[in-house]
Amino acid sequence: MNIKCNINGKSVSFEAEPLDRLLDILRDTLGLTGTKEGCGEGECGACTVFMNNKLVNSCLVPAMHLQDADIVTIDGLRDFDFFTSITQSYEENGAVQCGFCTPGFIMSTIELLRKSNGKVLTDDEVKSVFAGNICRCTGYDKIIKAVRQLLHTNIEIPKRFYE
Amino acid sequence: MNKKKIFSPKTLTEYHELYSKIENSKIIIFAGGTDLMVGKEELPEDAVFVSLSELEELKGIEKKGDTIIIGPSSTLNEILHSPVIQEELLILIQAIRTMASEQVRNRATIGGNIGNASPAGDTITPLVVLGASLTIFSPRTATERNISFSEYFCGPCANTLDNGELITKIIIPIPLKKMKCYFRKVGQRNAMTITKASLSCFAEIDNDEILDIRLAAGSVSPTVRRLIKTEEFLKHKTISERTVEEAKRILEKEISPITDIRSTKAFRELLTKNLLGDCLRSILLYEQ
Repeated sequence: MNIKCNINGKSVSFEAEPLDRLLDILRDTLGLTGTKEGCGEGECGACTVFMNNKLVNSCLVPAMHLQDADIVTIDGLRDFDFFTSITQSYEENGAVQCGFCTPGFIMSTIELLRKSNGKVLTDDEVKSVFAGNICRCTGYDKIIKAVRQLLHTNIEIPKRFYE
Repeated sequence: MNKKKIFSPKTLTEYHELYSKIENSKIIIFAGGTDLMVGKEELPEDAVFVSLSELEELKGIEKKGDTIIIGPSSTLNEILHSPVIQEELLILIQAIRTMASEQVRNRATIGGNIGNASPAGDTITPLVVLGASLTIFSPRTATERNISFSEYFCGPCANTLDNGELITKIIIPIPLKKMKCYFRKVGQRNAMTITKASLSCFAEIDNDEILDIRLAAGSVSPTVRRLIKTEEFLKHKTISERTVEEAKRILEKEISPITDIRSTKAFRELLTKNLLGDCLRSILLYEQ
């Protein structure tokens, strides 16, 4: 089937089987390899992207649900100031070790920053959004520290992530 | 790579018209797909998928008289954030909060959870104690019928729906405000976990006396169902430690847990009994 959708702000069109995974379409068809495959079962969150402004596991989204969808992946964030703030905070707090889970964690971090909307969240609130992301290196403490630091600074998430 | 046959009807009428072409195949209903996508390569070669994503009739959450009707295509997060559900069905909110992750709750639907009919389905125990029923659409005759959860289940991960039949509505009577509710789930960890045992309860209390009580446990029987004998015992009792201990003994005979990858039979038994104790003490003895 032919699918037309919006990926990282660009209109794209491609051929896919209805049950092809968004994850494979991103990586193999479109060459957007920032999104990683970990478990392939929706458990680890390495493949997290935004679909119509909602956090989803791209390994669980079939091509047939992509018609007219709006997808944002880690590859689409490079030009945003808030992305630089996030990566800086991750670097400063040692929140990246092997780095494989990082793209997924950054997508969930954006969701957290949207949720907080200027308020400082409790550790439990932070943990509940990160519950779908697994990191086997950092023990999470450093990632939570990085997010804490971000929550204390005023980071603006562009409107396009709210619509 | 095997090609899968997929249909996305836009209306139930369209599904009825389409049905004669596919009635002899194994029909797999595809909602959010969070379970199906994981094992899609192992599904039968000749299976036909019916995707519900374009079926608007199955979406939405509304209050109608003294019931709440949930469209089965509602995602877990849509239910969690619904003001109507937050106001009237706290027990469902408590249950969904324990399910999966933000990413999965944005895709997984309540209809899918019920359709899977897992004994560990976390939306099911609250729906059973809420006295919910289901409306089922039969694509062969284009008619709808209502069934209760006790008619719906026929075994672990098995339901009584005919090939191609769809859940079109989840109908929930709004519980009286004075009813006290309890939901607790125990799993390996807090998130992304499948239940070892869970307990849902609704009870009406007057002066420490249980006037009415409904109980359902998850993951400890082939299907989720009411714990009728335990309920009968507890009705019109005043709660004391002795009543709690006696209720636990009755409960033990009413459940039939198995040993599997998540837990042993003995642990599940102990867990369910302790959940009952926790439930009775926390919602019945002390003011909420």
